[in-house]
Amino acid sequence: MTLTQVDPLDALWVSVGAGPPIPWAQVARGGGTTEPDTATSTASEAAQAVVYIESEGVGGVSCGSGVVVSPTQVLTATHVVDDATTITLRFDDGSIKSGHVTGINTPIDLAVVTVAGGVPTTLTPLPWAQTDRVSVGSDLWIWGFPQCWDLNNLFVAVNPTLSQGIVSALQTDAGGSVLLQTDAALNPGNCGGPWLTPDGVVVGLTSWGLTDSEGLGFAYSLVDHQTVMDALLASDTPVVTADPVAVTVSDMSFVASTAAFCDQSRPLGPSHNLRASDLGLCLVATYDMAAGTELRLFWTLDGTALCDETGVVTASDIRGETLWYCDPPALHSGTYALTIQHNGQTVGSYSQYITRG
Amino acid sequence: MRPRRTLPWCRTHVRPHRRLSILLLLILGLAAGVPTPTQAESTTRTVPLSASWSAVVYTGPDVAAATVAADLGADVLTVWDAVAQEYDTFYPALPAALNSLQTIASGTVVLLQLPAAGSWTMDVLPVSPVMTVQAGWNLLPWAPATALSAADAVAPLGSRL
Repeated sequence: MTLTQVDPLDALWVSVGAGPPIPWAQVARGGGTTEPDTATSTASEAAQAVVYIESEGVGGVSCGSGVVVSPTQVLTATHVVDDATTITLRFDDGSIKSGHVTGINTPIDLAVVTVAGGVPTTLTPLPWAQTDRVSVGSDLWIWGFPQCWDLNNLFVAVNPTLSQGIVSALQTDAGGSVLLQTDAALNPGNCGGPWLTPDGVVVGLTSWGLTDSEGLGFAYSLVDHQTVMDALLASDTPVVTADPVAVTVSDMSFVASTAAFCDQSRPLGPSHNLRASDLGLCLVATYDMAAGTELRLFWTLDGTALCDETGVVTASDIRGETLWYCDPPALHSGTYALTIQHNGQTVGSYSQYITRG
Repeated sequence: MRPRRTLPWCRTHVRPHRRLSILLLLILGLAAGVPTPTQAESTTRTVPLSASWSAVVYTGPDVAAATVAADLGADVLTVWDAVAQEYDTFYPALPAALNSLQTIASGTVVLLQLPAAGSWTMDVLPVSPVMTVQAGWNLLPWAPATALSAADAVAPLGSRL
């Protein structure tokens, strides 16, 4: 007897070749070439799996996006939840649930949030890319909650927003990670939202982009990081915020400057990835930490948030003077304060009243 | 430290009073009729069972194998363990310690042997359409509520199939 059709609640024997386990997202639609109408429909249907995420941590409250990838798990960007003490998720059916991080990978900005009690059973998890890398020119449908705070103030239970674009380039970062680049319109709040092929397969999550630019958004390519993905999804243990690496911040002093690099002996230029207009405050510090350590820096002026930066300590920066910069909209006299965090814990702080002439 | 030039997209920090207003809007919105989660209606289904062997997708809540065997009068219950690539079995006549199958999880395919034809009535809980396929043989349910050609159904498994 030849099997030609599968019916609801049929039992299937399936044999696959050697290799890691394969998530199989069963969807009642055809495979193969996807016609445009089908693609539009698929992209629309995928909205049900898009999740609004509110993360409350030491640095305040932020919002972002995520996507349901299993009956209990939501995939999002690390930086949406990395300092969270409380994570609240709102699903397509309107339900609101809490979650906790069970997997995190900072270098490729991916995190898994396990939902208390599981995701609503009416939602269908989306499959993620495991076989083929999308090619330049491929269509992308990108879901997320752009300008989430502002829209939350305007509307009730804001629906996810769909942006359309193409894969405009494939890039590789210094760590060897492959990124997808898109020209789609992305905004604050999109981070962690899924990038979908016309077949509804998640190929990446909105991660980051360049400031002062348009149409330059990036996502780490999931198919190129399957090992990481498998490890993240396999973990069901809450990520415990580890004790900070040995970090000693001392001898800090502010140098207020908007016109020149803090260290006049070092020229501006691409090697610093900075422009003169970026410079707001300079901080000279000595510290002791491992290369590769990621720190978050929160700057405030008279108690009001100025900047929120993330930086990775490189080998050359392990000890000695360094520059941390901030680009506030306007500098004026006041008390400038910097809080330095690692894994959500404060590892250093400094404040100083600065008079601006 | 070299700063990473990230968009400030997802770090929109708000003051508490603003967040409060958002919560109020959400609450008001919910009161105004925004969909809220509802409990799925509890339904049951009855599956005919053959004398000798039957394969059934179990859709009820997790249950002890001993309970199922007793209720159905089954001679043996079997579930395929795709990770170990072997069967877990429950023989009612054997001491519990000798049975490798203790619990039947929702969404599991159960192979069961009955001495005579019968039926199995069970609750219908949603079966997750996302499952993990291990290298080797797997015995899995087709979870979607609609039929599909076999070729299309397994297409996502690609060349590993």
